[in-house]
Amino acid sequence: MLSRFLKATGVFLITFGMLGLAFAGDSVQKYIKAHIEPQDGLNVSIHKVDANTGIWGEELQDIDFGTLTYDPDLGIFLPDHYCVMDVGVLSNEANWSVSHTVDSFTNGTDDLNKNVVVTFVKTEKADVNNDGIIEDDETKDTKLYQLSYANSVKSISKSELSGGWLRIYYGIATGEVDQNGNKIEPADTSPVTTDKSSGDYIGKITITLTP
Amino acid sequence: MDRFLTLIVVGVFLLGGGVIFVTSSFGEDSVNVGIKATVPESLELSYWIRWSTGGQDPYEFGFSGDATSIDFGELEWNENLGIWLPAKYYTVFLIARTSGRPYQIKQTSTGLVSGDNNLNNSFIMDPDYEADDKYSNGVAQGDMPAGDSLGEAGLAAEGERIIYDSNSGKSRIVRVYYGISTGEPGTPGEPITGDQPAGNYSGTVAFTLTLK
Repeated sequence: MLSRFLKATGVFLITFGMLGLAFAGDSVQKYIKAHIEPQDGLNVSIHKVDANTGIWGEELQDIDFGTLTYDPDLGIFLPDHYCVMDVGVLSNEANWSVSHTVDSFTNGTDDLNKNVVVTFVKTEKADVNNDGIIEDDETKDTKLYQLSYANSVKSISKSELSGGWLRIYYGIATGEVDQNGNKIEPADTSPVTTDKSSGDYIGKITITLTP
Repeated sequence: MDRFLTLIVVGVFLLGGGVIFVTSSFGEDSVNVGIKATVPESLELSYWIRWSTGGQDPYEFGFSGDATSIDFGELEWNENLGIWLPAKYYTVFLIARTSGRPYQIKQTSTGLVSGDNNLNNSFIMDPDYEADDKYSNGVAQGDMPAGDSLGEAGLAAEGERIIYDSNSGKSRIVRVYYGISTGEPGTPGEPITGDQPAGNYSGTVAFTLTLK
């Protein structure tokens, strides 16, 4: 009796298994999974640029104009260079903005907040030499805003930088005018005159990426 | 911020302008950068001199020019006034630079001397401030700062004379006119008459910048 039952069961199991194999050959669905975290980061590099030749120099840790030199003809203090900050955004957000805020640029007595010109540009690679080849150093700038340091609190959106990246120029105001005698720097800026007390002026710039 | 992770350097990005971006702070969404400059302390007096013919502005085209000294040249006899007069007068432009500290600009002079004779009672100075005076960048200096004042006109060789007294400490272009007295009422000095012995008269004028 038992052996007949086992035989019958075995036949059933074998038959069932064959049926099962037949069903599995039609379609199998498996999920593939991964998770990407929101990623937001800034890369900032600063370089000094020779004010006369425009040649890029060493990399700096700060926007450091060094010791200004008095120009007796112009009656103003000037540095021998200006500074460039490149701001690279690493973000997988659909939208983001980069903001620029500043603390007072002061020696504790006076400040240079209206003596520094801040120029925001979109920089992108371009065939500037028009030779069909884009070298690493071939870029073009599109000016976005030019403001005094005092008034340089600004937010720049992802769309404004489409196809490029944010570059910010910092220079001491020269008071330069165009051929018609009109001021070419922001209206609220002026050169550093001897009215400013001597000393070490220090300020702080904060660049913030907001998703 | 706490949702961001600091990652190890994962790449080098070559962007334009020869800038190499080394990613060292992935996950940070805020970067602080210092801005620095040093304005050196200074105490300096600069000057330049212009000659101009009588009654003309120091920069009047065709009637003025740069000079390196105050040289009245050979005086001319004025028949109408009966005095000796030069064809030119001189303007010394002075700029003090004191890093914002209050100051005085003064002058002394040995006078115009020839042996035992001199023209010291005729050699006159007159300080002036012009709001329209400009640096070479073309920007007018504006009104005299509050608290600043000019010295009085007088004989150049009469002791130490104040040209400009600055309580503001601000650097400004100051003029001092040097001439030979015409004897005009209300002006200092005496004209050079026909009694004056002939000769070559010379001397120096010294300008001094002092902090108050």
